[in-house]
Amino acid sequence: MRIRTQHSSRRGAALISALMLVAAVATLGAGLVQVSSVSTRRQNLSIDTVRALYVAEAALSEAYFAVAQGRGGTLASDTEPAEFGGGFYWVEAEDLPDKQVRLTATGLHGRGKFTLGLVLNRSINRVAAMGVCGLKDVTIGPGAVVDSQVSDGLRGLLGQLLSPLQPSVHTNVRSNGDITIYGPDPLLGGSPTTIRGNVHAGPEGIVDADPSVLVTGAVTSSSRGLTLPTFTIPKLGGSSGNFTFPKGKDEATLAADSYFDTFSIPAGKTVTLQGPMRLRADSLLVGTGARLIIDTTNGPIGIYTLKRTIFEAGSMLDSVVPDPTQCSIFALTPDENDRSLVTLGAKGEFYGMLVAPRALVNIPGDLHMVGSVVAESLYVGPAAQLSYAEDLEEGGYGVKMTPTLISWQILEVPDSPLTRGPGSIDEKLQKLAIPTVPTKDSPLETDVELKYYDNGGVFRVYTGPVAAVPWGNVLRVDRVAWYIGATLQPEQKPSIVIDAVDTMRGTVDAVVKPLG
Amino acid sequence: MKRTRRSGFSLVEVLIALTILGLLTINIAMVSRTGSQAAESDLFRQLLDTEMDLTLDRIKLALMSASADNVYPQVPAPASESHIDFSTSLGVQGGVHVMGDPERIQWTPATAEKGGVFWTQSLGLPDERQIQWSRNVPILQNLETANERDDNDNGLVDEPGLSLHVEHAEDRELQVFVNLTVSKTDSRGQVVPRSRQVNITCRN
Repeated sequence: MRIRTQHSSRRGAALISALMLVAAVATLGAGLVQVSSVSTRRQNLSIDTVRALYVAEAALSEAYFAVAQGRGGTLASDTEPAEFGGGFYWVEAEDLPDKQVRLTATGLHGRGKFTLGLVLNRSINRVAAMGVCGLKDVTIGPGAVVDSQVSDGLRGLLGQLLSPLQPSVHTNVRSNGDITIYGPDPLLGGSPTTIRGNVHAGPEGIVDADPSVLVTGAVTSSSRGLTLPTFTIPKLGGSSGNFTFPKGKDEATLAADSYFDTFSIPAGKTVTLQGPMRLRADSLLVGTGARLIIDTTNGPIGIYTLKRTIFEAGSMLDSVVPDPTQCSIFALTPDENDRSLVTLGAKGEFYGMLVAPRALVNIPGDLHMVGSVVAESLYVGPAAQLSYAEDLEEGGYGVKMTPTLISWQILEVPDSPLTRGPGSIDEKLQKLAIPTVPTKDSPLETDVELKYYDNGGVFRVYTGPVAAVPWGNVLRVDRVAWYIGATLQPEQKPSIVIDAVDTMRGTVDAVVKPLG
Repeated sequence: MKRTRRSGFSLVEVLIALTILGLLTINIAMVSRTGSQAAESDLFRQLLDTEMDLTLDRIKLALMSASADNVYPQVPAPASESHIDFSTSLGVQGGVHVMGDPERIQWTPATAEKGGVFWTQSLGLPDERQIQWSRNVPILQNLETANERDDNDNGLVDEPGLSLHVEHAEDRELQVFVNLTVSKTDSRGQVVPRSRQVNITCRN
């Protein structure tokens, strides 16, 4: 007789129990993995969003660079985005009135997306926009008049006749320090000191104005200080020594780039500077009875002095063409510890910009200056007349015209196939078969029409690919216009292209760092 | 007659097995307790870090769009403030730069030891809106005490748990430095502080 053991009836029960236990533990484990992966995905989304923000900011920088080159600003598109830094972007540019442009940049990285908006002024002369400026301080003497003038001189004159007290919002007297404005002596009388515009002292400065002074705009202290860009002094092939006036003659003309140690015009003599040309001198001296004529009929004139710029009382300074965008005087000192002296004691009418970042500029009463003045210390003498030229904000010889930021903001991400739905950007690009382009090919513009002056000072026009521009023969770029396909876009005055030309040709002698 | 064999364990075998199982269980329990405490502390720190990062991200996005001219107060180091007023850009309309309603980020006390970070729009006006971004911000920064000295070597003196100070960059851009400490007491009664500094450039 066989006795059945207990074991045989229970065979297989342990296996089922073990399987159930493993299943339970596996379920718990899967749950924990799920929780952990959700947390990881949330962190990754947060990181991707920050990266997308950086890609969008980089896209805005690219678009800003394109605008500075005179391009439209549109880069790539949502149907063909540009690749950058492991992410993708496109920028839409929209022209606004008053030479403004709105740039909307969308950046995508992984699952993150971000959109930023920027509004720029296409090109503005930041130096001229300072108006009448003494970086350290400004003093305006009794009876002086500081107003503004627009290119339509008749309109400006009529405006002033019809409403002489109407504030001119484009005239600004500025400083990083104090502004002192004197009124006429009540005993001696005289016309009132008049500022037709605004007066802005520095963040820690004050405006000290006599009660009789008439200011038609606002009187405030700025919350931010002013800074100047860097200026470069052209080499011009070395000095020719001191300028020697031709014997037996009363008049002389300089029509080509010239470099002297001392450029001095003797009494009774006249020198005409005929543009386009550049004059460089350590010292510029125009004595009593001497005359300097600025003729920009055929092109602009730049005057660069390093130590002194003296127009003695009784000398004369005249501009043939009443266009302040065609002439600039730069009183520059390469040594940060040096100061130069500028005295404009001449009679006459000068149209142009005066930039003297490390100089004391003295404008006594006989010269009518139309343009803008930026000095370290500025003294406007009694009964002097200084008219700020609004045209300079969009022009001005020798100063880089850079796009200026008006506003920056975070925007809602626009709806497009690449921003819609879940999934990373790489997955979507693959699924939708959307091609991408490298950043260097992202601008829409292909060929360029370049208007420039060659090494001989001859005005030329080049049309064709950017890569084939004959940079070796380009002295100075005047205008650019870009082609999108076969369509020529509106002309622009670029700044980045000029920068490249100067660097490539090695025409820079010294760089003057701006005052802080 | 055959003898039947009986299966099972003797008492001694069971006692030994139970002893061994008991020792193993105690060991496993000790290890898992240490592990779970470490995991709990780690999780606790991660949650605090998440709260801190989220708060700082919100402060960053708010101040990036601010206009430097409208930021107040502009306090330079070693001083600092626990609030900042600003306006952000809404873009350009008709050629005019449009700024939004005034906003404020500030630390508000809730107890004697800590408070919260609040964002307020249109403060004091009928359409005032307020959102709390963080609730575990102490009165002073980590390792700082109110003794007019820079105890934690960060260049600031007696800075609050949410501290804001500014610097003007070389090109006159306004940079706002935000130091934030969040702290919470864990299950063991220990105060766990987490601190970070971010630097934000006002783009407008």
